[in-house]
Amino acid sequence: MASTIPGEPSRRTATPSLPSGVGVGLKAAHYTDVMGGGHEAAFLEVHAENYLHAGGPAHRYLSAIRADNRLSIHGVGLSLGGPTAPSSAQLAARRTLLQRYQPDQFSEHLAWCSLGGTHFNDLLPIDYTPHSLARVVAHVSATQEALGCRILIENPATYLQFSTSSREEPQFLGELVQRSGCGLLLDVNNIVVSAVNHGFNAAEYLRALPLHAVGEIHLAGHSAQRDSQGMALLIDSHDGPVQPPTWDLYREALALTGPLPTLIEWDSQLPDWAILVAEMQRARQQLHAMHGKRHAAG
Amino acid sequence: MLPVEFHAFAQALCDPNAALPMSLCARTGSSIDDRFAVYRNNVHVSLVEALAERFPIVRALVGEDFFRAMARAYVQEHKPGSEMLHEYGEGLPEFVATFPPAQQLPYLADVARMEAAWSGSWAAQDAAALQMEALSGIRAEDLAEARVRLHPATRLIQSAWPVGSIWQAHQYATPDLASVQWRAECVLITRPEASIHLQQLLDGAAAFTAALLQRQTIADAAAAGFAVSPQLDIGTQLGALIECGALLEIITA
Repeated sequence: MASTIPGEPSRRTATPSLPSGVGVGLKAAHYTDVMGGGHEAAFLEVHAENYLHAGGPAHRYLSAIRADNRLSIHGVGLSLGGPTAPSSAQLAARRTLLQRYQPDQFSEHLAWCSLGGTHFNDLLPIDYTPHSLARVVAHVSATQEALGCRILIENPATYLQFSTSSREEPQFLGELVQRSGCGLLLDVNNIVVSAVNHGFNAAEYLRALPLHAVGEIHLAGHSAQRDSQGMALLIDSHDGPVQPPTWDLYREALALTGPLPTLIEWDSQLPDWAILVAEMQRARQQLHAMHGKRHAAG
Repeated sequence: MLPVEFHAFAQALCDPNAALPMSLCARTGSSIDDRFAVYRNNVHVSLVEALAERFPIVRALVGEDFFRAMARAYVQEHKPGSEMLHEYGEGLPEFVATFPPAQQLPYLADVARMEAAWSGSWAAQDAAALQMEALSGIRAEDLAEARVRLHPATRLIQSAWPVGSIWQAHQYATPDLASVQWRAECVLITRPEASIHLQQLLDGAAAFTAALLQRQTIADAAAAGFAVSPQLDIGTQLGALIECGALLEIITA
């Protein structure tokens, strides 16, 4: 398991990491689009929970695709923010999955989604207290121990906060990174969504994160609503193209972090593959612009 | 968050009338109830969607609105027991069987049972199916007392309704149920490699296969088959089961 070196400024590389290009979330509907290569994605990312079953066609596709592609496995169901640690069966299932596909990276969320044997299938919020920190650090550490690698934890999109919280989310994530040795999966869209929902400044939030620990960036679409009081409410819907405020914040993030592996996420109302390719191209332009700037500066 | 607060949050996700956890807050001028409703909606919509993906033929038979209302009622009573959502809905066939608005479609529960079996076969452990050559290595007298071990992806659905024909009709963009003969059917689902095959077994072949699957000896299963179809050719039937990859092994006594 990765150890923490206090104050270390650069990115740790205890585990293999993804290439600093643009990848895309892979769904079954697009298996045939990526088979045989030529699809322009620097890496592919799948949800762990879609491959925890024993066998069958999904595994055959992913095995064939893995042979030709860099791969990230993104967990959405381990409930690391929950009151109890992931079970040994849950951890064993992920370990088996990682052994099977040897992904370049594994990531999960700062959220909970299960309680007492009931799975809610949504990423639910937690409060940010010393008690929560100790709990999440223990759960992340147990996961890293079981998987034998450092994992990334994603900053959440939330709709509510807790009056019991004693620190801000970026500080909480900073302490989590420092104490568990995990990395950060920087979801830029989640910042945009939460900033509108809670009325904070997205750029300030971004700068308060442990940016040295970012191993990957996520970009996704959100949808805009108004609540019954007329207040803007953004939903982290992943059902459309990346929105302008998210592109803007992505540029700001890259200026702070330098080029990083970037993923286009699109999880429902799936578009044709060509639309995803266009989204990837757009992200790649931003990444290349950043490479250029760094080069000119350095 | 103390465990009690997680439980209160979870309770409020399931029950719109439950009190929200006291520690929740939202930005000034917004509504905590509205914000919480996003989570409640995410839970219900995503679980209904998981069922819609697993039961496409049930959905087609009853229409989108009916299906979503029925799925929502199921979700309200039965949340997933794990994060492996392709397993979610094991109880839907039973639920459909007793869901009052679905009583006009008495075959619906068995169609749901078949779709649940289909995804069970889809997700099952891969294994090398028994090959024909294996049969030639077994002496005839040993074969009678032998039993079969099924391939992990094999499933058998026996129904008083034509679930196989209904499934077949729904493999086309515009399903035509007018040509379906309304009779009992037995459907064998196999997946020796990557793709899933469904086939209907008739009369004695169905009885023989069902008995084999219940771990009866080949002789006893044959008797069950003959009871329904006296002309049944057991060798052909056993060969057909091997041919379609339904078996893993024949275990002689």
